[in-house]
Amino acid sequence: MASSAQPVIDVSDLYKSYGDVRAVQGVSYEVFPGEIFAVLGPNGAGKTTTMRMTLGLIKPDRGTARVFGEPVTEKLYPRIGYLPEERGLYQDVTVLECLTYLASLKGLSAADARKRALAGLERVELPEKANDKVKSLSRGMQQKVQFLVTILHDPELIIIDEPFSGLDPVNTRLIESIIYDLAAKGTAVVMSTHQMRQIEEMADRLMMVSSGQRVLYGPVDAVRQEYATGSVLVKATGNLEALQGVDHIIRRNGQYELFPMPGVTPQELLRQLAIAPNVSVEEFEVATPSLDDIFVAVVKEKQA
Amino acid sequence: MRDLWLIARYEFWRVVRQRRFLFFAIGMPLFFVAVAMVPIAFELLRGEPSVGYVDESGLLADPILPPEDELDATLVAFATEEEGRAALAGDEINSLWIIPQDYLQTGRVRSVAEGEANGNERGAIRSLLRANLLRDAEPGVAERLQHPIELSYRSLDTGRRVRQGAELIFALLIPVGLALAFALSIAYSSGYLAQAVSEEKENRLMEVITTSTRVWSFIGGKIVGLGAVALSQVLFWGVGLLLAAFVFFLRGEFPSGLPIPWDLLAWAFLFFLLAYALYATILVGIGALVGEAREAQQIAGFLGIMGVVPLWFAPFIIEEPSGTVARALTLFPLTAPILVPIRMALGRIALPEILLSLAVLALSTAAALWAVSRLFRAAMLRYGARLSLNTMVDAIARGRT
Repeated sequence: MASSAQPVIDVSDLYKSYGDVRAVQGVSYEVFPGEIFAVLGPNGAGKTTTMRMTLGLIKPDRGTARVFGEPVTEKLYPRIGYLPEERGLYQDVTVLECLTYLASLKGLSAADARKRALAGLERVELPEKANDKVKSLSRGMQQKVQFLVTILHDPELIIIDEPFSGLDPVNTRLIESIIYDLAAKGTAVVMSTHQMRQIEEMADRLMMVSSGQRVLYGPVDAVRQEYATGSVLVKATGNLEALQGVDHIIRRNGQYELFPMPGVTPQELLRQLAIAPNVSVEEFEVATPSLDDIFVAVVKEKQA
Repeated sequence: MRDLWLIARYEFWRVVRQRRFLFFAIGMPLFFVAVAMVPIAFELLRGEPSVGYVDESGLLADPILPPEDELDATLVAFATEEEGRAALAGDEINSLWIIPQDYLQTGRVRSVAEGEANGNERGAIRSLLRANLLRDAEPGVAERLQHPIELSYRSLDTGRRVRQGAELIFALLIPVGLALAFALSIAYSSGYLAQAVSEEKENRLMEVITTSTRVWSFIGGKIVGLGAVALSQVLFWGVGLLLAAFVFFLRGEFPSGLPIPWDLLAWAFLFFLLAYALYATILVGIGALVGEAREAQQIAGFLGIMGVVPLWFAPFIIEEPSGTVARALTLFPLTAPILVPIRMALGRIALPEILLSLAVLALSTAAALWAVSRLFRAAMLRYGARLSLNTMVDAIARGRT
C-alpha cells in the first residue's frame, strides 16, 4: 500500500436515506492502489449502499464519490471489476460464452475475451467446464466463474462483496491467492466480508460501518492495537494469583490472560513473572483483541 | 454504440438457435405453404379444363375465338349433343354447353357436367359468346361494350387518386398484411422482450451489467436484437407467402399488371419499425418493473393482444376513412402504424397528416425510451420487489434511484 499515491477511491461525507431510514450517514473513505481494503459491519449497516454509491449505481443525497479522480461514468467501467452481493450468471449458455460475452462488455475484443476466459478457467481449476451450461455447475463453481467475470478484463480496481461465500476451504485459499496476486501488481481491492479471519489475514486497512456510520477506520493492526486492553497471554505453571500489579486473570484454551491494574505495563508484568517463585513461563505475548471481539464490542456499543 | 450492437448480436443469436424459434419462424410457414400447395398441386396435375360446346343457334357457325389470355380452358366444338355427351362420358372434356336455337332471343344456355362447372369453364363460354356477339361491332365500340368504364377517382379532401377494384384490394393487402405481421411480431416477441430483461434481474446480473455498459445501450441492444428476431420471423413468413403467391401465379390467378405501391410499402415499413420500437420499449419497461420472468410474460401476453387491437378498427376506417375516429386513431401512436397505411391505400390521407402522425409516433418512442431508462435504473436493484407508484413517478420525474 502506498498512501502517498493518489487514491483510487475518494469518498467524502456520503449520505443516503430511503424514506425515514437513514441508510448511510456521513461515510468517508479512501482506497489506494495495491491495497486490500476491507469493509465490514453487521447486516443492514449500509455497506452495500455505500459500495453502490461509490460505483454510481445509486445517487447519494449528499457527499461525493470519486473513482480515479472522477465520478463513475461508463468511461471508467473497463477499469473496474465489481462482484456484487446479489450476483449470478446467464444460466442457459455455456460457461465460455457467458464469460466471453460479459468480458466483451468490459471492452475486450471477442478473441481476447475468449482467450482470457480459457486462461482464467485454468486458473480457477475449471478448464473442463468451459463448454458446460452454466446451470449445470455447482454453487461453488458458479462462484468461481462469477469471480472470473470480475477480474477477466484486468481492472485496476475490484470491489468484491462476500467473495468467499459458498466456497470450501480449498477454493477459499485459491481465490485468496488470486486476490494477493492482483494486489501485488497494483490493483486496489475493496472487499466486504463477514469472515474476520480473512480480514485479519488479508486486509491492509479496514472500515467498519454500523447503523450507516463509519465507526472504525484505519490499518488493521492499528485498529487492533487501539482496542487492546494491555492484557498479556501467558502459558505458565505455578501460582499466578500472587503476582503484583494484576487486577484479574481469565483462563482460556490452556492459557492465562492477565489483566493489569491501571498504570501497570506488559513489561512490568513480564518482570514480575520472571522473579516470581515457583512460576515457570513457557510463552508470553501481549494480547491484541481479535477483529471478532472488536466487531462485537463496537456493534454492542453502537446499539447501546 | 459498440455495446448496443454487442448486446443486440448476443440476444439475436441466443434466441434464433432455440428450437422454439426454428419451429415458429421456419417450420410454420413451410407447413402452411405445403398445406396451401396440396389443392393447387391436384389442379396442376389435372391440367387445363376442356370445355365442349354444341351450337344450335348458328351464332358460332364460323366462330371467333377469344384471345388466349382471356381463356383458362380449351374450347372444343361438337356437331351434336350426343357426340358431346360421348366425349364427356369418355372424360375427354370436363363440361358440355348446349347453345340452343333461341339463344339470341332468350340468352339461355344449358350445361351438362358431373357436378357444377367451375369458374374457368363458365368464363370460357362467356368469353366465346361475347366475342361472337360483338363480331360485327366497330372495334372501339366492341372494346367499350366489354369494358364500359375505366374508373379514376380523386379524393375531394386529399386530392389523391383513389384506388378502385383489384388495385384497391391489392393495395389494401399491404397494410393488412403488415398489420398482421406487426401483430404477430409483437405477440411473438413480447415474451422474449419482457423476459430478456427480467432474466438479468432474476439471475442477479443487473449490477454487473450496469457497471459494464450504459442503460441506454443495454435496453437499446435488447430491442434491436429481439426486434431483429421478430423481423427475421416476419421475413420467413413473407417468403412463405411469396412462395404461395408464386404457385398461384403459375396457376394463372395472380393479378398481373397491377402497380406495386412502393410509396405505401415504404411508409408502412417505417411506421412498422417505429411502432415496434415503441411496443418493445414498453415491454422492456415491464420486464424491468416486475420481479420475475413468469410475471413479465403474463403481462407481455396481454400487451401482445394489444398489438392486434388496431385491426378491430379496420372496418370502420374503410367505411369512413376521413372520419373523426380515423383521424384520431391516426395520431394515436399505438394505432398509427395500421391506420396510416390503410388510409393511404384508400387514398384518403394527405402528406402533412402522415408526417404529423410519424412525428407523434417518433416522439412517443423517444419519450418511452427515456422514461423506461429512468424506471430501469430505479427498479434494477430491487430484486424480487415491485416499485411503488410514488417511486416510479419520482424516478421518471427526477431520475432518482
